[in-house]
Amino acid sequence: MTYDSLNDLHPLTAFLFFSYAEIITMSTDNPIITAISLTAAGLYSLRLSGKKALLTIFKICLIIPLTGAVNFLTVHTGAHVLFYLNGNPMTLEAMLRGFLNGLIIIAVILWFMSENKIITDEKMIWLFGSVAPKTGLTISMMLRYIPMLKRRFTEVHSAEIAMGHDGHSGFGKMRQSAREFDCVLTWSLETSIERGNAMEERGYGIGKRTSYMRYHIKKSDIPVIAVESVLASVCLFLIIKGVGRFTSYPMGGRKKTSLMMAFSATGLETLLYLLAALLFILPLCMDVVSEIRWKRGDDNA
Amino acid sequence: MPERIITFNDVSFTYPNCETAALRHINVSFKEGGFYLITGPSGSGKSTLLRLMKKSAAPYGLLNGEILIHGSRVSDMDLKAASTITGFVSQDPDASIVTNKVWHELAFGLENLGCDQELMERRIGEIVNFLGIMPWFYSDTDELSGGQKQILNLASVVVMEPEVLLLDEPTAQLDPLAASRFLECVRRVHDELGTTIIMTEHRLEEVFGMAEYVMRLQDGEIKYEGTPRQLLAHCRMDDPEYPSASRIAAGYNSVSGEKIIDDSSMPISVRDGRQMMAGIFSELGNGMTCRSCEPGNGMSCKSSEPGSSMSCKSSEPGSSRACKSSEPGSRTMDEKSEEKDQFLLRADGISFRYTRDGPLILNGLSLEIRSGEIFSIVGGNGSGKSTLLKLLSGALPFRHGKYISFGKRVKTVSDIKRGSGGLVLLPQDPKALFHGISAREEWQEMRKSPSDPDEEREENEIFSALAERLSLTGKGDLNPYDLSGGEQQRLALGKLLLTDPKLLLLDEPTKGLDPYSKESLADILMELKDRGKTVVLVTHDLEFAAMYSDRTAMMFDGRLGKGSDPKTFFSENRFYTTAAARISSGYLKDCVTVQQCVTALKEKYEYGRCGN
Repeated sequence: MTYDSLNDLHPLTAFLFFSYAEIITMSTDNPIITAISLTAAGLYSLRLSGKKALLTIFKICLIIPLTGAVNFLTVHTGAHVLFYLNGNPMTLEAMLRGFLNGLIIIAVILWFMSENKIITDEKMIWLFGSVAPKTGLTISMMLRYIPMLKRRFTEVHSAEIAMGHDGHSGFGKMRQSAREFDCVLTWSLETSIERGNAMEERGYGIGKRTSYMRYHIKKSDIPVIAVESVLASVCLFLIIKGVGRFTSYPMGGRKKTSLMMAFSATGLETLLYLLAALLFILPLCMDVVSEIRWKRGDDNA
Repeated sequence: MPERIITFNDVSFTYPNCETAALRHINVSFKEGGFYLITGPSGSGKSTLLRLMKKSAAPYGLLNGEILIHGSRVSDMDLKAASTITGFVSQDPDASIVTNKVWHELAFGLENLGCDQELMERRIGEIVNFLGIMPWFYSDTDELSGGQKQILNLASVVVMEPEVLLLDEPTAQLDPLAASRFLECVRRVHDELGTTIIMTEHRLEEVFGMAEYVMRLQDGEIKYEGTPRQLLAHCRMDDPEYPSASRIAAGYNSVSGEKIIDDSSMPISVRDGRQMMAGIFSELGNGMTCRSCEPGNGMSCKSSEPGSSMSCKSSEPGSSRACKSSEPGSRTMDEKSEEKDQFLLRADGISFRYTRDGPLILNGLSLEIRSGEIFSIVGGNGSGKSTLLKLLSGALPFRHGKYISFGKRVKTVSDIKRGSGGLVLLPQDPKALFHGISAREEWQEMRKSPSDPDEEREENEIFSALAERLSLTGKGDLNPYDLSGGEQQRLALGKLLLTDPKLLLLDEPTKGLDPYSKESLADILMELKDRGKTVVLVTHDLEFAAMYSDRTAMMFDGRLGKGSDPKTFFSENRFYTTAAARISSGYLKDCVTVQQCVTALKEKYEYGRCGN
């Protein structure tokens, strides 16, 4: 993964950012906000994952026709009726709304994908661990077991294939899988006793546990948390107050006029769009600034 | 005067539902700062003795006598003291690892004790540097190799600063290089921190020299105790636990009839062994070849005495047609080469990688497996030996190269003949084959269930015959998980044998076995060979390969060498070879096992005596 400034900061900073981005994207159906969010999310994914992201984005875009179809078939309000089906009007607005919903979903998915890259397992454990240490430990143990169980499954499976137990028929394959599952289960249960003992041997259960903190809030975290929280709260406040409300199903008039009427353009709208844009491109800006400072030799971190 | 930390006062211990006691009247005390080694055959009570010293590892059972740590009984100790005074490292590297990250694993114990952040950071920083963990400090625990995991286990215990370290056969599951590194870490902890070390081990080659005090258990009692030198007085050539150098010396003493090498100069390490060799040769004269190798003597096979080892004395360079010992039923090379299916498996140019952007594990590999041979594949950790076996048995998809199995060209997995008349694979962990509740059930699932009393009787006969061959009589009703490691392996082997295969692929069969179980396994392999089966084994255990295989090849860089008989193979290698070969290189020719060295020395001794 290429360098990213959010990665360096405390997991809380990143977690807050992504939460804000996702909430704001989902809380309004204003297409301009959706568009800004989508662009920022796409650019950020590209920065984090490189060219591989393009393929994933392309695959995700297949949702658009799906949501378009769903909305088209279920919602029947709207001015421009294309045709009638079963006595129900199929409107252009419903279809467009469906596509826009798809775009919102894609934007949120992209934010989550980036979040996944930045907030690794360990950070997740830490985030929960500081609030609920036992939960953090449990997650850590789970993350340890999952690859181990996968490995056991492949070992059992290899051994069975090597004996000739392929499970040729469809039903045979199911039976074979059940057999293998049974084997892994027994194996794991038996060894879990040893593990419980091992935990006890190292003092588990003596008293209150502390959590080893690998992440500390640094000076560089505070401005970022402040900025993102302020931007996010103002945006949310405006949205809740009704700024930027988009009428998806305007009644009467031709398509062009009705779309124009859908936007009520006041100064507050522009403010909303500006603040939202600033929030969404925050990590990208931080990265760009960081690159410039590195190249100039101003900053070595 | 070092004080006694742990004392056993007339301790006897019996497991529940057992008639014989696991430990009987043990009276011993462990002093502060000592390095104690407990050895003995399987089942002698070593593990039990060790585990009784740690409250949370102690088994349930009937305990007589008392075990005192710093004057208070183990059972009375409070939890905190119990975890901080003694630390326990067990055999299985995976069993004790609890978290998913190395740093978290190190912090786990300290978190349990409620240490504050700064203390934890300091201690973890210390131990990471002390044991060289920094290169993999950020890794997932799942990505570590066996050796690294074991060092991690050691570190996560040492970080809690225990006074006593208890180690239960810690190197059993490790390959020789990892075992070496681990023991080096243990030595440093002892030497530089002054921690008391109490360790049970089977593989004494390296540890024997490190220990200050050795105890040998047998049947629950302490048979011998003393310094390593004192114990060497009891060493015999056949004793597989002792270091090779000592065994060779003991063998030499016995063939010469007198104690040429006395107790105080018994060699322990390879270096000691070489000095001993130098001494022997300067005494007996410098002739380096043994008597049977006067020119013109050709391939005389000296080993036709019953019970002698399997190698021929002919030391003409390049003589690779080693005679096989003529035990009844064994086939000579001539018979084998006349057989129709000479090559059971043949592969040419096989390449394999796990993931598209991963490394090429096998790179244009070729191999031939001849019928009726025992073929060992050796090589370092990660060289791809297991991958090769999985590919040959169909567990991994075969796509690149030419592979002919049992005469049939292989395109898909179903072309590989498995099971009856074909090949079977014994995995590294035999538990991967276990499905039943009892040992008997495991075997029963390999056959059709008997429909009438006649068939039932037949099945019983087959099972008891097989159980006898595999030394498993009487274990039919036990749960497979209650059997020892060696027994589990033999049980799994029995399952595979019930399919009547022609070729057995064994993946690290000697892993975790004590030396006596290894000898049992070797007997079984010899017997299989007598019955006409072919065995391919992948192993780290060079001594085992040297003693029991017909052909050995090394795997490196994705390719497999052509292989040669063990004598040639191991005597040509300088580092990757048996201890016996390293001791005798330059002095004796083609001697790669203890037995061969002693036989050669015997001849030298007789020649030297007669020649005067």
